[in-house]
Amino acid sequence: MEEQRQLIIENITKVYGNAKKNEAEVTALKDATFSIRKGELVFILGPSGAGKSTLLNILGGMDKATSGKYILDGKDVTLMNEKELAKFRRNDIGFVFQFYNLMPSLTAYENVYIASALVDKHYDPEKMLELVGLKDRAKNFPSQLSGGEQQRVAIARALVKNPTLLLCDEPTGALDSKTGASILNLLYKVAKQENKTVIIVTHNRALTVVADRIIEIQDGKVVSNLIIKHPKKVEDIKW
Amino acid sequence: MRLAKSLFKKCIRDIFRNIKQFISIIFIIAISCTLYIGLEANAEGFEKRVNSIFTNGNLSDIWVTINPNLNDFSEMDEDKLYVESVGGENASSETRLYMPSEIYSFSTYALISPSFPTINKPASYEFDDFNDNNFFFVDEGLIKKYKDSTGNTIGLGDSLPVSFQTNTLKSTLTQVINNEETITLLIDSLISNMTDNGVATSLLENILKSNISSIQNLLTTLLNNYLSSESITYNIEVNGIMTHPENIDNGKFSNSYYLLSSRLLLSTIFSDMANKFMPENLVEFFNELKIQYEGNEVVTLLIDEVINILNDENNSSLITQIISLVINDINYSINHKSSTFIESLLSHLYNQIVLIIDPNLDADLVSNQISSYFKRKSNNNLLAVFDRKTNGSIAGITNDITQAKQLTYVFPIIFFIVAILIVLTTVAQLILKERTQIGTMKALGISKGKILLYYLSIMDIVAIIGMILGFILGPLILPHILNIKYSILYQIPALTYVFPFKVSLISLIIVLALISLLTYLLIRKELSYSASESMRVATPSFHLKARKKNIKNTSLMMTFRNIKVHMTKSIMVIIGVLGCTALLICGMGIDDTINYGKDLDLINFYNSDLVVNLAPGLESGEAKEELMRYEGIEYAEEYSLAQTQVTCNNRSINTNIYFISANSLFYKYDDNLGEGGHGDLNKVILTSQKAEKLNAKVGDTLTFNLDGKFESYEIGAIYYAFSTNGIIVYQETSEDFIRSPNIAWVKIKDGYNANDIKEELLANSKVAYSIMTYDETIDQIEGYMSSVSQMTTTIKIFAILLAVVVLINLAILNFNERKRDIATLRVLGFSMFEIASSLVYEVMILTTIGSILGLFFGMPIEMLVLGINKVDLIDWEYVIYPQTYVISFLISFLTALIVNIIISFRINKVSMSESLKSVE
Repeated sequence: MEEQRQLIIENITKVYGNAKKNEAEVTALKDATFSIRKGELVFILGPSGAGKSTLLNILGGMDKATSGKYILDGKDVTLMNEKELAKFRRNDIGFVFQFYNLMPSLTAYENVYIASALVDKHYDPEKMLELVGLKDRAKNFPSQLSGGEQQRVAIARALVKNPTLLLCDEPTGALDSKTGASILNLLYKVAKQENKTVIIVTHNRALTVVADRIIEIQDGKVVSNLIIKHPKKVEDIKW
Repeated sequence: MRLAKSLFKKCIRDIFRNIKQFISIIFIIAISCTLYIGLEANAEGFEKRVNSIFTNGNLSDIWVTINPNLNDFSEMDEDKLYVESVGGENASSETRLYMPSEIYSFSTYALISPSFPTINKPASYEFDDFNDNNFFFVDEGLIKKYKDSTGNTIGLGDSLPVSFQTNTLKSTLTQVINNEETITLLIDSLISNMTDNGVATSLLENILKSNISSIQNLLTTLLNNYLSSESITYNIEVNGIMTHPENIDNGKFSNSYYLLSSRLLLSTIFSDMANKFMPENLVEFFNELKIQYEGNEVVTLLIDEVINILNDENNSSLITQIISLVINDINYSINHKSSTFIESLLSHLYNQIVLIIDPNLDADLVSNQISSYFKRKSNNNLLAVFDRKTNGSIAGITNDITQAKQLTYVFPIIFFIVAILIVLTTVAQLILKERTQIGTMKALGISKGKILLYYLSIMDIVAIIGMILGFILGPLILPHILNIKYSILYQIPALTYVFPFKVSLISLIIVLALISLLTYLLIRKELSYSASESMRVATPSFHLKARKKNIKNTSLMMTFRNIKVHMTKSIMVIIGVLGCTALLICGMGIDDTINYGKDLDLINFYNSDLVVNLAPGLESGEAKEELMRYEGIEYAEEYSLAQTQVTCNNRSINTNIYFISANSLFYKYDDNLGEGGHGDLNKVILTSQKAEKLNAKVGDTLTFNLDGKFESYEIGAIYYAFSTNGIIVYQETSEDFIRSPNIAWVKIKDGYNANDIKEELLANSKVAYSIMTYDETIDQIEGYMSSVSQMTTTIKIFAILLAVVVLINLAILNFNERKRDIATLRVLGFSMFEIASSLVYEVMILTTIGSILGLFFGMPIEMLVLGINKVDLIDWEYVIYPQTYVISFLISFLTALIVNIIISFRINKVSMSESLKSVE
């Protein structure tokens, strides 16, 4: 089964501050260990301040672990320097933000296009917009789109790079239930139809019913790592 | 009330929390105020210091210089009376003899008067015992020059060698001798002093009075013998050291003034004459007298006896002693005002009337009235009428005061305009950032008025901080910088702290009103929205076409989008850079204009190795002949420079008139003037500055007044000259123009050193009064331009400073505005270079547009600045060399590039977790 594990996290610890520099040390993540298989829809669950964002930052190559090992597709991310991390983010990671973070001066199409321009083997931006159901809104600017539409553009932008891993930070956090459901449905499809590993960070336990795996974090520690054999459908979520 | 207090607290906290955001506003307002208030303080302080000298020295309003007619005292009295009468009810006047002289080898002007002056008196002085009969005050400028060149000082009680050109003294005294009235007075004075008032005295009086012409001949011979050398030097003891209102200008090339009692001078001359008395002149006189009295035995016997005594060598020394006693008697009369002759002589020994006019009268009008009066006279002996505006030594400093005042309005205005731009961009940015907060305040029920007041308070407090800094720094820094120039050029009281309170208060009110208005205009729209609208993310109001294909450079694409989306801000940046580039071009363009003009003068006028100021009263050709005798001199050429009044097209001006040979080797301005200009003896040539003042063009007729005669000539050509403005008349045009040359150009043979020849001429030549080498001429012109050069340096420094402030402000605003985008782009995998490119491209595109547009505004600003600084001495032909445009463009461009590259390094410091934060 070892070869099926696409993402391996072993004893990852993240400490902020440095006692040697007389700074107060705060351990945000302690000995986190888990692994994820390719194509899984994973939910990282935990209350505010549990260490979700820290874990997301490490998974996305935005921050480095103090100790431990993080391997994605056989590559040891923990050994990468800043330049390699930038390349890692560019080629392997797709990121969906809670507040979409689209470039306000670019149209929906252009927002997707600039991401595609970063990598050689990318998808067609137009087709990506079609995939997220926004083909007709390609010429619109973010401010002319609803929150749900903006998040769809953000997903298209993340996917167009054909990333190994799709990381989503509270993707439905700023959306109403109906729009949230449609976004979650889209991410579900990405995982299942495109066979992409999708990791969603949330504090909303209700969403996790559609997950293949639920990793729960509390006080910087992984308290559970559950594999759901029969996940429910998005429509079954009680918002 | 509690709400207002809370909002005020919040406002103060917000300012200090976001101080980085406001630092540019504080900085630019502080610079603008430092400049404006500093320049105002300088102008106010400088004017006060100058006025204190003018007031303490009781400076005259009008100077009337005449060619005194000492043959006819009544005419002089009449002229003086008229001049006094046109001065109005409260006028006062004094007369004095104004003549060039030398102390050591320094050219000076002697102000000789019968009593200590009350008009144009020393503004401050230290003195030993002195009175009306005995004062010799030298100015501090002379002492400074003497110390600079010899290392020694001049102090009270020192005896200084004062030299006069004898021809000036001779012509003045000859005129006195030729005045029969004076001789009669002299005889009366002599007779009245004799103890025997009987028959012998009466006889002597009759003899003398019937032989006035013989006495005149005797005195003329005595005078000629006494003043036989070129110059005569007297040692006179200094009993006063002063600053004089007419000699504020103590520049390197300005002559010093000294005050001398005419009684002291006459007494010194007579004492000297007594020592050099020659009895043979008297023998000759009595022999002539004897011939006239042939037949009158009593008289002839008496004369024979006198001649015998005079001829007896044993008596020669005795006679000299007797004559000395007589002269000493005259000296006694001089000092004790006991002689009618001496008193009459002293009261008419003047060539200048200085006049303080009634404050209600206009000096121009009075000057014109005086000029007209003399013109009406059959013998027009007026040399010049000057008022404070036209008197060179006064006008120089008055111009500087005017320039100092005008300077306060030129540059600060440009800085305030840029400050407005920075305020506009920053406030617009602030309001965009604070939309949610504005919405929240509205939602909380805070009135629009209070929200407006809150933002007005923020901006006004920020502006006040900047202004206070400017108010403190300006009066402390600027006057000290400009005083470097003033202390070199002028003798004025020490610098004191001046705070222009009124101007500061007015500028504070205007700036606050302006900033409040700008803030109101920018926030007005935002306030009109509902709370929920304000809390929504702003929708950019643009209609752009989305490009689907052919996007080659994503950084460039984002750049163009940002420029279009933030069009107002982009326009402001363009205007800011435009201003900086235009200022740079203006600063360097002024240098170009000066250099262009200076080079033209050096090529076409001051191209000789030496310029020799000649001793007065030389015959035409005399100086040339003398100078050519020197081994190292290859060629010398004389010309005359005079002042005249010129009329054309019903306009009149006072100007220089140059009499130059048509075949001059040195004057080359006419080389390219073609027909009518070059060598046309029937026409005169005019420089463009004077042509403009006279509204004259080629072909017009010009009338000028020369020695009281009016001459009319057609203008043959007009050309631009830098500092040699006036009318050029060929010496060969009319014999009437042949006059005493006062300047000579000298070309030195190869292998000889100009400084050596200069030294040799000064030591040995009788015709060289003062000499300037080519290098010294350049120094002199540059000396004239020192204030302008200082100004251009200031412009250039501030322009670069301005460019840096504007561009840093923009770059920081851009950066802060995009922090979240930058974080997002970093998360998406964009490299620092790609992100930086987008930011740098944007600024560089705007900078390029601004710089290119700025190229067109450089010349108009230069014309504005130089137009304000127009002086009679210099004419500007506005020139900007191509390299100035290139350099200015490059400075703006490179400053923008460097600033942005430096700021781009901050991209790596932007935490990627910024992208995870909520939208503010």
